[in-house]
Amino acid sequence: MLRLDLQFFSQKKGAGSTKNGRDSESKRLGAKRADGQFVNSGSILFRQRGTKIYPGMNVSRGGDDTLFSKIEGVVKYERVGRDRKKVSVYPVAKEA
Amino acid sequence: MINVSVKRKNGRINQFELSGHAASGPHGYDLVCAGVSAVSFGSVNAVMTLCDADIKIEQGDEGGFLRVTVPNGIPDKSMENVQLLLEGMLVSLQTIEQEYSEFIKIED
Repeated sequence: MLRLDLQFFSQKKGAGSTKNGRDSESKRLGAKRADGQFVNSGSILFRQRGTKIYPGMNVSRGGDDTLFSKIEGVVKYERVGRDRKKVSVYPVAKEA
Repeated sequence: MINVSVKRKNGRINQFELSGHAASGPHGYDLVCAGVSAVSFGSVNAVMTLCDADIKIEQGDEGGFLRVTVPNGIPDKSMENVQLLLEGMLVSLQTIEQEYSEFIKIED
């Protein structure tokens, strides 16, 4: 009797296997605070690699290009020129 | 692509050969290969067991090759059964080919 191998007519594993199949841990980049949102001083606004978004008013850039607020206030994403963006934080006017 | 070629003598199946790889999925999940393997191996075992026919079997040890030759000296009654089983195998393979023609081709 023949012994059945259900993968007898299948390409063997070694032959022509792909070299891909690896990926790095996802870094959850992107916006951490939305436009119009109230933030405290030091709050992280945007995680990025390089300057996808530029620091605007009252916003600083950290060593890993992360943008964070230097003051308490409201977040504002604004356009810079034709195709650039920046994020600013504007203080909220205190009620008299 | 699995190639199936059938040779006949006076209308009877004298030899059939299956060669190639289906490549319808990664090794271990190649469904067409599984179907073709089950049909062909099952039919050959049926012929050997039910018809008591001493058929000649050649297999590629790396897989992907099976040739079966039906010798002439088989008594008529057994030969009828052998032919019926092999024709049945062919119908099963053609059924697979109808749906998965990009992975298996039959020449009869």
